[in-house]
Amino acid sequence: MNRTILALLLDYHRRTLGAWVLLVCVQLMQISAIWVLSKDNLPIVGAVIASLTFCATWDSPHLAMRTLPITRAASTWAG
Amino acid sequence: MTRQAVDIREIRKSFGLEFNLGPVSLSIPRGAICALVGPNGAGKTTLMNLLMGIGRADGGTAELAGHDIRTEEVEVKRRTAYVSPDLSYRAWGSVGRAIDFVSGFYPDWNIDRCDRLLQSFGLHRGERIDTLSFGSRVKLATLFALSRDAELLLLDEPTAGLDPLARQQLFAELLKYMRSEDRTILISSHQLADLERFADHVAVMQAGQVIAFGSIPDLLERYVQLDVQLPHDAPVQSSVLRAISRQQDRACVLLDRQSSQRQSLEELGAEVISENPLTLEELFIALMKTGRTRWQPKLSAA
Repeated sequence: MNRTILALLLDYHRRTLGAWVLLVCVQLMQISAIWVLSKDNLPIVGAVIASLTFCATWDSPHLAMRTLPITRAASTWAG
Repeated sequence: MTRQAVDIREIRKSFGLEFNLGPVSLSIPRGAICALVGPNGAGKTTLMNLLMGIGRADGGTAELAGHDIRTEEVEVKRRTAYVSPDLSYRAWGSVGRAIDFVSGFYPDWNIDRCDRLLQSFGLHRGERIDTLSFGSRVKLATLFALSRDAELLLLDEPTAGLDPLARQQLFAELLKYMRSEDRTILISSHQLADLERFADHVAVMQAGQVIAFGSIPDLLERYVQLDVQLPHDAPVQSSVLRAISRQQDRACVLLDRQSSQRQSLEELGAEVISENPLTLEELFIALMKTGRTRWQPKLSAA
């Protein structure tokens, strides 16, 4: 595998590890809520709120990525 | 090797009705330190972003360090470094992790210089980026630019948020960078007094256009301020007068020595009382107040 792509992949997973953990937690909460309350729509509201919170607090490294000597496609994907 | 470090030809970008950039044409020779000045919203950041591939131009071409920004994007970025307060490295957590990541992309990364700059800028590898002040984040972006041997530095507001001591340090580091003759800097800032000492060329932007460009001594020689007594009976058209300020029959006028403006004023009966040289800051203010028409570059034949 190309060294640049490998570096971007490793960095992407390191940077977004928190988001993956958050995703697993939301999924667990969703399953628990469906199981306990038997209400299918309630966890969806929670997932939407969690997503919006994440988007609002996420400081995108996209612009910094665009200055690196990588192609536009690679920086768009990794950023 | 081409003689121009930056060669922009008719580049333009439209943002609907609110703002249009260009068409902008600009040629900056290698080894120059060019100041890009203009009021807020003049298009300085937009122009630099387009050069760095952050956003696409609607038309026109540009070459940085002899490479086309559209077709040789990776090579352009290998040879060019960009500093902007808009660049965020917070996603990498700590200063050290950001350095480790960014340095991996540049074979010419100088570890010793990076360590020296860390010390000089008062940054530490273990510091969290989200706890850094605004000025320190700009310093971090500057560190990334100066830790390698880029041929061209694009600096968008590198003095933003810096105290006078940090500003002095920054300019000292930039002068060290300029020890090599092949290196070029394009710097935008509102600190005109600093730029007058540091830069040798200036491009003045207003409303998305370059309205004046040249070496600073040439421009300060070309434009002077006239104190004139206007005739009582004949009104002078504002397009001829280009007054910086006016009080009844007295006016301070920006004179372009390369135009026939002085002759026109004298033909209308205006009497020149005194002629005063301008500083870069005074020239900038005068150009903004008098709303000069767009500067036309001399494009060399291909």
